[in-house]
Amino acid sequence: MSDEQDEMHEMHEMDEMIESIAARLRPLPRVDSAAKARVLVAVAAERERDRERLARRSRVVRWAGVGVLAAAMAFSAFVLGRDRGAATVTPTAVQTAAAPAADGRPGATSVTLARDVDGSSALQPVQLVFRAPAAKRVSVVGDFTGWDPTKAVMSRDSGSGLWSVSLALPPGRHVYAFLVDDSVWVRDPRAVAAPDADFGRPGSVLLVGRP
Amino acid sequence: MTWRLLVAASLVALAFAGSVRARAQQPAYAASAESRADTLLDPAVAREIEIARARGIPAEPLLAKVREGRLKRAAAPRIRNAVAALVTRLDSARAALGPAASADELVAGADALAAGADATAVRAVHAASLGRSVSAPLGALAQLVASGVPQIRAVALIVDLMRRNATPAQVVAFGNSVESDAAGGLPADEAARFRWREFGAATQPTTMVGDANSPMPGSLQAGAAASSPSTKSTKQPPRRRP
Repeated sequence: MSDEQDEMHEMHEMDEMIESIAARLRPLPRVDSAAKARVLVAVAAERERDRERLARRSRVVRWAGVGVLAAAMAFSAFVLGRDRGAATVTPTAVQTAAAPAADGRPGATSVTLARDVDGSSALQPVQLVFRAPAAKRVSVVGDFTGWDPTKAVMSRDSGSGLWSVSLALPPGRHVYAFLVDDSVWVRDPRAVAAPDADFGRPGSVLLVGRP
Repeated sequence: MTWRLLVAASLVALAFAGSVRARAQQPAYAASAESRADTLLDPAVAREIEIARARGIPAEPLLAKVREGRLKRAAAPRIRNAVAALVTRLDSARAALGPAASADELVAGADALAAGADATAVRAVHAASLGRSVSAPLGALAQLVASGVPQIRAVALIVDLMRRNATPAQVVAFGNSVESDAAGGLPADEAARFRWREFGAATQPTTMVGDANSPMPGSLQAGAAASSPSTKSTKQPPRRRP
């Protein structure tokens, strides 16, 4: 009986010790959110470069294929005396050159940083990333900027076609979109669409403050 | 020779198509620029906003609606209609929340009404607030109703969270979770009850939803009592829609 009590006592002590160790290990070190944003943009840019390399390689292969096909058709046209081959090849080449990103989706992505607040209703850091290599200016517009395109202008990452902005948003549901070159409305295709009963142009939903 | 003719004809056709396309685009840009100018100077919109402001309705949400319409290249009449509809919703929200309601609360109330909630639901949430801000609860109400949770259940769950002294962050997290679950394909009603149980497991209600002292109106109270989920139920995640 006494042995059992001793054992129980030891186990209880062990639980307390484990709990005290866990309590020390539980809080994670604070991370600078600006540094985190830079790392995320760098990772997204690297992924983008990989994608572009793949796309370029596949374009080269396709162009080579088109070239061979064109040569074959030109040769057969020459041999057979037909003259329709060249006209058929040209649009195919144009379509190939105009193909979008290698994954087949329009190039936009958004990244939400982890919260660094303890359940309060304080502003939370959110980073949005958007791919628009040919754009001269991109801004985020949404209910959180009062739909003002001057309040959240994105900055271009050098060396890639990515644009990013870090925002501090109140918890809740937000609707946003990207405005390219002050005129083209692009909703984030990777986020859930927000229907728009007033104007019929959906935006994207951003949920800030999820458990 | 025919081949050269074909190529030349294609080039001419391409050039013609390009010029036609460019010409077709010009009126569109002109129209959008015109509608911008119309909206900026639209006396009807300016008057509507001024009258609303004089009644105590905040102007900023109305101006934001105008900016949203302009960004979306909506025609001036459509922007006028959207602003007028928002004024109506803000008026209804103020009638439900009282004259002391803040701008944020009015906007949240108007959003809830736009999502499909009615003024009775907004009043019920306000009555349960006991002087606290109702921005977050009304935001969650809008999310639940828009996701497909029946209004009576949505009100019951949110009022219950408020009685458990849920913080605004917890109420926001509840609304976000339900919307996210529903967007992921879960039945909204089941998702709402599941998330409510998740929250309820950690807290105890100060009063039960649907009791005699409930500030909810009769019709909502009866429904809330009938639909009040029990904390005894097990925490099983809802099944996905097939």
